[in-house]
Amino acid sequence: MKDKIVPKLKVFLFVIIPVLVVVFAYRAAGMRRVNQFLADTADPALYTAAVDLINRTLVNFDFNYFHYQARHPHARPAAGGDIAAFSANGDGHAVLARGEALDLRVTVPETGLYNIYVNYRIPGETLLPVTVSLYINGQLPFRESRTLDLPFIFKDEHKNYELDRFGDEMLPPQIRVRDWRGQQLFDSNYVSLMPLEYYLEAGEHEISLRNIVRSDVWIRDVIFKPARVLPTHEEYIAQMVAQHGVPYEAGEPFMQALTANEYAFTVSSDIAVRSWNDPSFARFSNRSLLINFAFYHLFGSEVAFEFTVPRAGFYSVAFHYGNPYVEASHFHNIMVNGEIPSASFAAVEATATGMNLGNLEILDDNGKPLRVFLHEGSNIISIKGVRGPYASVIDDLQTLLLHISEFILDVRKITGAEVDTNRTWRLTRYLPNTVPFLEAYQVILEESIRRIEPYMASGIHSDVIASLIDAVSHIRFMLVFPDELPLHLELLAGEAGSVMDYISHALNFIMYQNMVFSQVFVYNDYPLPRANLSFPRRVASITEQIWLSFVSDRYRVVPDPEILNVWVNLSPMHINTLQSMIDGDFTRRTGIDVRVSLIPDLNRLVLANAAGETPDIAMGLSAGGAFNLSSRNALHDLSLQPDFWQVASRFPPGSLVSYIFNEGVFAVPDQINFNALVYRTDVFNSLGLAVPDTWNDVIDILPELQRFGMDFYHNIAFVDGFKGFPNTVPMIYQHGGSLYAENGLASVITSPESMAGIRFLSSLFTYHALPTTVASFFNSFRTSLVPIGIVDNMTYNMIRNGAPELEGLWSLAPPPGITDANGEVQRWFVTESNSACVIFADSPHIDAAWEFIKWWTSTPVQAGFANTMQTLYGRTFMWFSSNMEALAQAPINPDDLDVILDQIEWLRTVPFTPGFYELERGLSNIWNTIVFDGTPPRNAVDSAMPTINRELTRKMRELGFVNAAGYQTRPYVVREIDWVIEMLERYGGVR
Amino acid sequence: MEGVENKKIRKYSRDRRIEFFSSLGMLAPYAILFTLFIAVPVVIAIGLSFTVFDAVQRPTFAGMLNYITLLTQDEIFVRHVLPNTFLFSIIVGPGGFILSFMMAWLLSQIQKGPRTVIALIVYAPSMVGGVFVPVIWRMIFSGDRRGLVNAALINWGIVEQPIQFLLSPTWIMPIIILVTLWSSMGIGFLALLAGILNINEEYYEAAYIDGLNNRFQEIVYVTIPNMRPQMLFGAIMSIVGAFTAGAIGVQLTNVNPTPQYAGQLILNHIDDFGLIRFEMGYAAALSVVLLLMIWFFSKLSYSLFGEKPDE
Repeated sequence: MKDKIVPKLKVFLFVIIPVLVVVFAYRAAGMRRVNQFLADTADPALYTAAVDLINRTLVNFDFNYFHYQARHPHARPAAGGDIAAFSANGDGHAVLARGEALDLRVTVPETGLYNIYVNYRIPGETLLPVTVSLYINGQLPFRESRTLDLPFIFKDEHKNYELDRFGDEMLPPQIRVRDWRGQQLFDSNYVSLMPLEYYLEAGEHEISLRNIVRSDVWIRDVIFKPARVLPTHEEYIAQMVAQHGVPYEAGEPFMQALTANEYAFTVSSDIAVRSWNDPSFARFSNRSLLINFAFYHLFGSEVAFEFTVPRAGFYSVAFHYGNPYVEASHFHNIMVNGEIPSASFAAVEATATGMNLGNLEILDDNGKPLRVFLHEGSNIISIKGVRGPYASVIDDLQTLLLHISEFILDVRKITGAEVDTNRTWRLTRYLPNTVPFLEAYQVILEESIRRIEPYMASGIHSDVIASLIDAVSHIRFMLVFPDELPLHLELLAGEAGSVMDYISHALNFIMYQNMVFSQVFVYNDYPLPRANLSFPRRVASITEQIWLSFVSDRYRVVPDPEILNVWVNLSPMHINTLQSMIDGDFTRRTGIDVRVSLIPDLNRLVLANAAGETPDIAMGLSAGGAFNLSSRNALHDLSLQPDFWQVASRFPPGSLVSYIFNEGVFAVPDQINFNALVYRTDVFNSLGLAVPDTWNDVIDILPELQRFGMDFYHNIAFVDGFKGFPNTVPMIYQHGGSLYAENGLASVITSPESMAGIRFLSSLFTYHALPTTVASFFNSFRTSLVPIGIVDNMTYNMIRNGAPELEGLWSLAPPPGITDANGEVQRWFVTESNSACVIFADSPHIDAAWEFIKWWTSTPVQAGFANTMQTLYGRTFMWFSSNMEALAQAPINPDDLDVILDQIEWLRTVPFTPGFYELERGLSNIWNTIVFDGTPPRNAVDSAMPTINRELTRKMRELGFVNAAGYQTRPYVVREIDWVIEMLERYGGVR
Repeated sequence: MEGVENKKIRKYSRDRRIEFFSSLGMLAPYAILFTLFIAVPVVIAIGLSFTVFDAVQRPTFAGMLNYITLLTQDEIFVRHVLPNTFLFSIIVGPGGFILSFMMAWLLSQIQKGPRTVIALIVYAPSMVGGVFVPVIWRMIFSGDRRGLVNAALINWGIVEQPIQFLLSPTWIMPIIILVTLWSSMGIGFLALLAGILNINEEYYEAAYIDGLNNRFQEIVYVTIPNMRPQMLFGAIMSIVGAFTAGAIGVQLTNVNPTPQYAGQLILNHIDDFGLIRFEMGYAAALSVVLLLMIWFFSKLSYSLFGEKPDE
């Protein structure tokens, strides 16, 4: 027995242990290196020199607030009092329309730093952020001065929450408060902790306040206030005691708590209340959803609570909060009656709480809560997200990203797009700055790590720091072989795992907060309730929830024959809003009772139809889904309604084409999808390229782009193998081609026009080498590997709201088209969206259903819905209404909206006819075989045609339009966009 | 006398009745469930295969039309689906079966502790299959530079541009086969493992005394003959598994049909007709064909591994 064990032990000793030793030693060495460089005191001179070098060599350098502050290092807050620069007399006020400016002359008695206070009001319904620009003596003092925020104030309409029919609390409508409001100006990204400080020398200055947004801005006062230095807390107490004659001592025990949903008002539309299923929240029930928390994501968001205290005195303030990011702390200014009391209340750190909650208290050095002075009666306590210590890091990292992409361009100018891997590279000979740049990158990254490390819950193991450390180690590697940098460009700017990728990743973590508030306390000498439920109570609560999930049938869907049943394929948030709009408006006005239910999988409609349990209306169907039902007589032909074509003129004519079956129109859309071109303005400026207007322009700029290893993204190059109509057909339409013969029995993609389209589309990939697969355009766009491309709603939304570091570096343009024989540019694009609203043929309430669809697609309802979704759920909930008038009022960035609205004219959908899927597959296969297998276009089309035509005929026979011998027995016709336009002109009465 | 006789007869017939009802009672749960969830749907499917049915309107009787179409008109079926299905089933069915057996035999040679752990690991992919497989393998074969295989190939300088594994018709079928083999160590594998472990050690000793020379003979003369039932079970499981697999191709490429029908198996074809084109009648006819194929191959396995009366 013994001699059997010994060899095994030997193996273990000689193999496993050395391996473990090596692994641990390596790891320990790595950790030691990281710890050591964190412990190293940074050399400030080195850092300053690095930042200076980067700024000096940046082509797209923008003078920002940090540079401005650095230019006036010795500036002090101005002495003396307020200077009223503008003051409207009586009830008057200045009205600034878009582009108009308020020009003022101000005489400044004392040199120093000033805040600018504006008393403003935004009339109208707009929800788009309103910003103004401030110029001093005709010049923009710094970049951020271009977009100064005039935030909106929101309130809940009421706090008596109505219950929906499941017994859950419904979110109350938020209303914008349109009163006058005084505000010291911040920029729209809230880069500063305190209001922006302008340095003004004594003497006369010309000040110009310019409105740069669409809505009017009313202004009553503009006041220059000397900048404020926050007092220490001792100074603050001394001042308050002297001023109010109340001693700084704990009075009798006092505790007042407000739950987060009871907030008084919010500043910025980013804040919302919601319900969360966690028993640690103050308002919580296992049986129904209660509104129990408020949250925000963006810097500058502020939420205010109103407290009434029985007598004037000093009180402590605390927040019951969650910061679910596992890693990073976030920072907040806490304000009492609109002012930060002392330095201790500025940039208060809210540490990460993970899945738990925490109590945010403001403590002194001994761990005792600090107290602030509150008046007798009502006081406003508010909390506002700020950048705090991250501000300089965010700025540095953003500059670094910009600089790296410019540096890469320089390298590509030397190497060309395809780097020759066999050549001996001597990059430093051509770019002597290579080593200084890389060293500067390393210094700045290491300084950033040092600055944020104290605020990461798991220190150097946290995700943010780990990715920055990875970036540093890449740069170290490049510094060993600077001459060979061309061979390692992927490490610097590749799509994944590159320096740029790591930096964007880290930025994303620290630029978005995820703050959740459950309760706010004002108290004195009173223990705070514990932040999290004890473990046994938590277990009990979860057990009850599991039990209830078996016995409760609150969410069952059963059609009720008495009322109008609507099945919708949208998110629960959309449905809650929709239902409350119906109850508040439609039902009240028409007396028709409507019940909206969520149906995530609309394939069930077919089965429900087979079982005879259909609703009256279904919304959010795909065009194919609507077609499958309409071609089998399950749907009501909406064009039979006498006022159909008047209603239809609300929509882009092209959006109806897919819903036509044999001259009947069986659905109307409630949303549309658009295509547009996004491009990186910084890249295009650096390269001196113009934004392409036609496909020929694209072909012209391609060599230039590809020389730098960059590319153009055509939306057919997304990952999946199957290319749908929206990818394959636009080029056919742009060349004037069409898809079907009018009787629907054959495809006409062999016609000269259609063939030209197919040939051109594939030549982009075969001759002009557009990338055939772009794994994630969003990522490639961020690293400027693919600085231009065609996007739809979703990618647009992602770039607009998910790439904060790109703010101001990109722009939207109409997608390229084909110049036709008359010199006009044909920009047709094809979309598909899950937005068909249909009425079932066997519904007993067809007229009521039509009434509902008319109401739902009407301008005020659609515009209101788009606005409500954004105020309730934030900026990412964009609703691109199919109603063109409503879309024009939508809360979308105005410059983008102009492009989108122009583009809508060119929107088309593909006519669906029995067997259409075979054509869609055929076109997809044609493109694939041409591009991947090198088949000539004509051959690819010819070999696909028999299958397509056979399927079209077979389907027509199945539906009874053609008999077995192939003769047409019933009339059938495929209709295109021109028919819709004709009908609209004849019956619509509008166009 | 007569009374006694009658009594006996009555008692006998009562016993018979009780016996009858008790066996009926014992049989009922299985019989009801089987009829309800297997027999009836199969009969309905066979019935539907003679109709034209679009899931919305009533089915209309069409005789043999669907079968005629299948044999004469369905180019995709004949050109892509049938060859793909046969290639796939031949490799994955017997291949997976042999692999399972080899894996089970290897595992049976080691100690209990590690065996249990490794068996669990090997069995895991088939347990979590549906959700897990596409996630992992899409990452491995992703067509950009980030895909693990592509990244490795580019790093080693074998290719310059990433290969579109999941888009290219040449690659998709081998990948589907590889992935299915990887996740094929299912219940059949467990049965085989149990079968091998069940064999009495004394058989081997006896066989060695009778003149066995090596482990291979051990497998052929002792192991396999002694575990016929498990072999049969394993074979049928892997054949049925091979024919009814099909989801993986669609999950990997994210579309049905797979690019240029390169990974189209009969199950995808059924889905395509039933759920995309809404031709339930035709889909039912395809299902019947699939049923016949499975039945045929199960018969084949029976003749290989089934208990024969003379043994």
